[in-house]
Amino acid sequence: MDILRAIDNMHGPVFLLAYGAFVAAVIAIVALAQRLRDPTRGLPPPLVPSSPDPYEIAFLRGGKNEVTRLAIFELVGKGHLHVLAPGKEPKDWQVDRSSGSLGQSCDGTSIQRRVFGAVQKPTKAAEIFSGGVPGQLDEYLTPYDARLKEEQLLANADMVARGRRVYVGGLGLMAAPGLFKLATALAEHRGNIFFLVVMAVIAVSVYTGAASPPRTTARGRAYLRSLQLAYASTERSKESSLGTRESSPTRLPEPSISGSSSPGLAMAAAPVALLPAIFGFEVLEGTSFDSLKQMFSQGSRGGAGCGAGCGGGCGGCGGCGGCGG
Amino acid sequence: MYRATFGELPALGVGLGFRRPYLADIFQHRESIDFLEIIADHYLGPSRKTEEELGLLAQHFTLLPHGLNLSIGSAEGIDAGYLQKMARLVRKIDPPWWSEHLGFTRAGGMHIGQFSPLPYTRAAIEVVCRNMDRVKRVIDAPLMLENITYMVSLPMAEMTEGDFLAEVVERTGCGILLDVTNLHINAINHRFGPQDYLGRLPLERIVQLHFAGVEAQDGLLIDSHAQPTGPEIWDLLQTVLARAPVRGMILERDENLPPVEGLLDELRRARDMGREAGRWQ
Repeated sequence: MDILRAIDNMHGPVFLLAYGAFVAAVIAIVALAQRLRDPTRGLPPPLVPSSPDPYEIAFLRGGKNEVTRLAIFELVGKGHLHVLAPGKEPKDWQVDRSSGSLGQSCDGTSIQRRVFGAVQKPTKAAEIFSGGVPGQLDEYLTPYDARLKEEQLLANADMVARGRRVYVGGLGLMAAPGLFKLATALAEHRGNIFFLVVMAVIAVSVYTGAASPPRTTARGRAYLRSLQLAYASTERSKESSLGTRESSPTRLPEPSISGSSSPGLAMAAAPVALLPAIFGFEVLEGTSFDSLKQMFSQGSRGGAGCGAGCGGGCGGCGGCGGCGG
Repeated sequence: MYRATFGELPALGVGLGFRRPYLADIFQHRESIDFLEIIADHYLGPSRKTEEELGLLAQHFTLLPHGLNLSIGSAEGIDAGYLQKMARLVRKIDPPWWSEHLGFTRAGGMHIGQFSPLPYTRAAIEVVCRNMDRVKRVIDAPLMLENITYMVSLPMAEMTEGDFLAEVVERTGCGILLDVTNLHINAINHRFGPQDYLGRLPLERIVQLHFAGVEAQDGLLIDSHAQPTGPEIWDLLQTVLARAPVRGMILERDENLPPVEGLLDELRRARDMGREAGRWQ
């Protein structure tokens, strides 16, 4: 009761400062706890495969949103979609079909076909996510989800449940003093609660970003890091396979990635889609796909948002920030 | 110390001298590359990035560290700091053996910047033996010494290069990393027969081979490591494989990098040669 009395009697600005420090401490402790209780910490990552699946990697890194982005990248690269840029603002840019159908050349299994099918007319990036396109890929992503959980690269249901309990517990602890102060202020008809409300909104947002149970395990993050190291030289020479900003999107041959950075080297047998799959759409900056990078870094702000799209909170998307890029 | 262990060294097969432009390629073709030789000097510093790269390579391949600056022939002795760093690297990756060059890169406290040949004299052998005693106190993994190329035959030689190498390995207990390309280059430039050279060596000590292409410049051959392996090198490799219990071969390519498929073809050919000679499965 003493502590409640102390909170009640605390002068507004003093309370805000103290509460701010308390919130920061809770966020740091819970975020650290979420990492430390990961049972895969210290486990060596899987070996880098000879033929990595870009869609599996994209799913590991950023969930169904990242897979959707990757499919659009390949569809643009193969000439089935193209980017319309009616104005200067990337959030207004659209992808549209270049042809009525995919023909024979596209991957018949599906992810690309489903995404292509969802683009019936010029469509903004935000509309792709808010229109539920990523959700239409669930049936194709279930095998990836199962395998990645079996390999302990994604958190399984048990880990997620325990992580949520920690999250909820920490949220309650963090919110309690603020709610008490708010309640006493309202009970005493004090109206100076604006800053408290703003702080609460910011605190919950930051807490969710930092302390949500991670979707990717420590082993999964180590595996992604291995892939990034293994393909670092390819990333440095991205213009040789992805073209430069001044050119139209490079038509992607099949198969197509340069494993080596020296000019004039023949392409080794690995898909160019590996680059955005491993490094994210940021890798497209400065290449002939730069417009896609700009478009999707804006897209989510008007769309479903990180939490809904990534299925685990922005902090768990392994690079969600922002969900569109 | 090493004499008793040569027979127990594993047969590694055929690998590649690791070069960063091929980093992604080696993962894409892991099944075609039996092991990697890394330039040890690239991993002696504390950089986080090189530590990560080393960890990644070690997870996927057997790594053999190949030093550049031990300067085993320096009369002023081994650089203690370099030796400690090399020891740390060897402990970290635990290779079946490691290698360096039979020559020197430091003299009078200065770095020469390239491998310099030793005079083939008894005094030089004593220097190498003294330095090797120090190395063996710090690093207990077997060391293979590589024959280097030289433009000038130093005067007052008391023996041939082959006899010099033979006595060094006999006295120090080291093994031999026979660079077949270097042997060919020296034989042509200095007009001796490679078979005579091989006849001087304790063949049971030849544990590893290097091979690479040669280039001609101003009437001399040089070890540029910038060309495909030529027929004369393949012939010499076949001769050595038939006679020596080689455990591993490394293809070296530093410049004029081709598509990785070209290197893999050479690895396949070398692997088949070794298999036919009964060196590995």
